[in-house]
Amino acid sequence: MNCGRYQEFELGDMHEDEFNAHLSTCALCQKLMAQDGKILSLAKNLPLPPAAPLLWAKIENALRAGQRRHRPIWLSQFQEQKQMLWRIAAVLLLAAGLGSYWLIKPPPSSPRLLEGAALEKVESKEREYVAAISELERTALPEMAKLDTDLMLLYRDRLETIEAQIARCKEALAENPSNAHIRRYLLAALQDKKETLRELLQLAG
Amino acid sequence: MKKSKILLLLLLSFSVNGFAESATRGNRITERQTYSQRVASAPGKTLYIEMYQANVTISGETPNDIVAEATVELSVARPELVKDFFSQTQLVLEPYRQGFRLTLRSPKERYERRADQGIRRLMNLIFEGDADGFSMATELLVRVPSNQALVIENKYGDVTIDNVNGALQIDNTSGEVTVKDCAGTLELNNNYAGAEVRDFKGAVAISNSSGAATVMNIAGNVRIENSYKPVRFEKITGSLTIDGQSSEVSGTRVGGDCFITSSYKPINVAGVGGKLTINGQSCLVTVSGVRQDVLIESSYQPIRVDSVGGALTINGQSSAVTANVVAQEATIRSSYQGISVQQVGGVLNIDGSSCEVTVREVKKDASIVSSYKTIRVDNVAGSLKVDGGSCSVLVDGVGGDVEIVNSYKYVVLKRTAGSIEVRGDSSPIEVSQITKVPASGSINLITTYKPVTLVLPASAAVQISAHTQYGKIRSDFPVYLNSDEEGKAVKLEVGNGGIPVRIETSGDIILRKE
Repeated sequence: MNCGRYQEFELGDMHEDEFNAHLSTCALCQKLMAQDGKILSLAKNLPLPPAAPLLWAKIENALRAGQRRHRPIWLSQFQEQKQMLWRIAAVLLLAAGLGSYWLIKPPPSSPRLLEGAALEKVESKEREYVAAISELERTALPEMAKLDTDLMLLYRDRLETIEAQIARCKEALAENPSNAHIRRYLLAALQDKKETLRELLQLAG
Repeated sequence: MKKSKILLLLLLSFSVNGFAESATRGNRITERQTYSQRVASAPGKTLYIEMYQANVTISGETPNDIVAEATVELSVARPELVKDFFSQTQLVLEPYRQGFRLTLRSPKERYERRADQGIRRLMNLIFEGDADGFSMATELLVRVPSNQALVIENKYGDVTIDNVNGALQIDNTSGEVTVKDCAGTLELNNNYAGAEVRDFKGAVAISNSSGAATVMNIAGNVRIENSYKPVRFEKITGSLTIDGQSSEVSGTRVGGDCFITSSYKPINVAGVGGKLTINGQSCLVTVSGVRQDVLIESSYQPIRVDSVGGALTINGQSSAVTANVVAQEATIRSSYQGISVQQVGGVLNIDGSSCEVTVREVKKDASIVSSYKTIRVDNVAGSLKVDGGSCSVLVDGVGGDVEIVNSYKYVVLKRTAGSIEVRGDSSPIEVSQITKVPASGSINLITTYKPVTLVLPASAAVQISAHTQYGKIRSDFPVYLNSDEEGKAVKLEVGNGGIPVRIETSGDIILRKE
């Protein structure tokens, strides 16, 4: 059996009413449509994966980049058979997606412990703060001498207090690196130090 | 886009997600285990909770028992260690002092304490052999009788207490502490994180270094010590004492006395039933609605006070001061910034150095000292005394005697009803719209180089003696002019005479009839 009407309909070359009239009489088109329906149904029942940041943007960018590239000969052949190949690719990817999901299914949600990407993200944020603090320290600390004595002593004391807290958090994290709570307080202390240095700069300026 | 393409993208997303997750997670596994303990409590027993890096939640909801449940979550790169770790972890609820002690004994804690040599080998493997693979977190839920006394020690975790009415003592570090719907007494020590107490019946004492403190709806006295972070309060029936270092303080409705110390950050207080004392170094201070006395000390930042039922005392250094509606006396000291006072029921004393001063509606006497800036006074019912070197002095409406010393700038007096004494140095003087001078009173207007203008009512009964060294004398009243080497002088009697009027200047003298 050989019928290209389903393909035409899928490509938008055939009106829905016309295709529906044809569908009632064509076993092949009925089969193809049933297959697609099953795949869609399976896809709908998949559990939602954890969100990957900018995934769709990455996919779209990759697709656009692909479209811009010169299309080789095999692509023309692919165009001719694309409906069938799309279906095969879809089924394979469905299997791969389901398989990989079950293989690396995430553990129960763990808000108290940061792992993998989340931990890296927090560490990256910490590094950003440390870099900003280092830059601010370079300009703010010499300015501290411009403040009146009471205020200078206050800011010195405040910075020492924050540094002590940062040291304590780091000590605790050395033994418990993924503990979200300690990470949160290290970030808070770093942020506090950054804001204090900024405040100091404003006062001295 | 056709649905087959959408489907493909959907499937692609599953795959990409899956591979990304796999790459970042490595071989680490996360497992959790829950431990439980229960014991019957009794009145008078204290529960001591000693935890480390745990989130602790305590609620008063059981009739008699203490029920504890700890969930330990472990993330480790060596899966084979998880079972050993969990099997050697215990939630312990044991008799201790006059009550019970609840603590978690895990291999990690034992390792940190270096007490249990037997576990060292395992711990060396975990912590020193592959330290970055290990992390743990603990969640402790404790249900207690509602009258349970608690002593809690914790670090790097939040503590929440709800509906417990015994004596509560909390020592925490780097974790939010929340106490709500409780009664009894509360002593809360925390660091680097917020402490919040809501709906508490009893005395509250909070010490929170580098952490914010919030107290709301407290039926009792409250004492707070903190630094660098804000203190907020609302509806406290007893007294409130805040000792903050560089802490912003704000709140409303304190039934008793309120004492606040801080520095450099704003202090904002409204609605105090007792006395209010604020000692703020370089603090912007805003106060309203205090039933009794208010004492404020601050510097360099503005001070604003509205509606004081008692006396007001402000000691400001370079602070702009605004005070409105003070039932009793007001004493204000500041420098270099403006002082504005309205509606004072008692005596007003202002000591300002280089301050522009504005005073309106004082029911009793007013005394003002300032320099270089304008002094404006409207409607003082009692006497008015002004010492303003290089100040313009503009006065409208004084019920008692007026005594003014100034230099170089105008003195303008209107609607006075007592004796008038102005001693100016190079100050032009204008006195008009005199409403009354007491029979025993007098008017003395003395200056140098500048003119003196006196406008008398047509019905005035005065005896005028005016002398100018170099100026002219002009008069609406008939006068006889004496002119000699020492200048010009007039003496005249208006009406029946009686009230002595003395005018001296080296400038012009103008006598006008109203």
